[in-house]
Amino acid sequence: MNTHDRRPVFLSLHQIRLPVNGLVSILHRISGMVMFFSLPVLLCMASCSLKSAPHFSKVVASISQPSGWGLVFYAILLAWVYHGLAGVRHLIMDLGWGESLSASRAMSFMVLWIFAVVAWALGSWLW
Amino acid sequence: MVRNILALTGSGVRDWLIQRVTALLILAYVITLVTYVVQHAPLTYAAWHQFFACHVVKIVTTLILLSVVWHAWIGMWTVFTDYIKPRMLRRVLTVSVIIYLFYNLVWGLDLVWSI
Repeated sequence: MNTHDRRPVFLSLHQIRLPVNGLVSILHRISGMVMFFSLPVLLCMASCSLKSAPHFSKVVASISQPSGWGLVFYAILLAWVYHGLAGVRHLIMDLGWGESLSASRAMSFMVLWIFAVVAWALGSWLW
Repeated sequence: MVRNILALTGSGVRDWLIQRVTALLILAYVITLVTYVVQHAPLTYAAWHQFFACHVVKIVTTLILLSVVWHAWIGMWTVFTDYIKPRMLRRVLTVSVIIYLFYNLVWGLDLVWSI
């Protein structure tokens, strides 16, 4: 009965070198959590921006600077973009494509590269 | 058989499918919204308001709000099941998630249909 207690445990998080697939996967979960908490912020922004033209301008002004709500909005956008990209990777694998180790690693790197490009593009568009 | 009453449907296969279908719906909606914003750049209040004032958009946005709630419910349930071991704590957290999501849903519906 005691045998499974003797299994080695190695959970030193700063020493574990996560494979890229694992990194893409855990970031998918973290970005999902960020999106979960972003819902009231997005609803707030949507409701304010749709109230009147001056309200709309105020929201646009507050999110088009690299500080305060601008940073919050940028972080939320990044979470949505990342979750979408990593999610598409999951859907592709659900179809049975790219399930080999080399293909799934290539797709993981692709997710990270596309995300980096979109993150840069979004930043330069917002600010 | 003990079914998990706090999961969205209580059936793993059904949850799995709903997770994928809602993901595709939300993705299509976001792409549509982004395309609209890009086409109307620089975005004005008139163009922004016009999009959400359209009756079809209101109906679709309602479906998308529901999709987000279902998708997030399944996702948070999965994450809690994986990482939160104490059963009571997990139940309290999952119930909090459901209440929070419904609060956001009602808020969203109120917003969409008051434009």
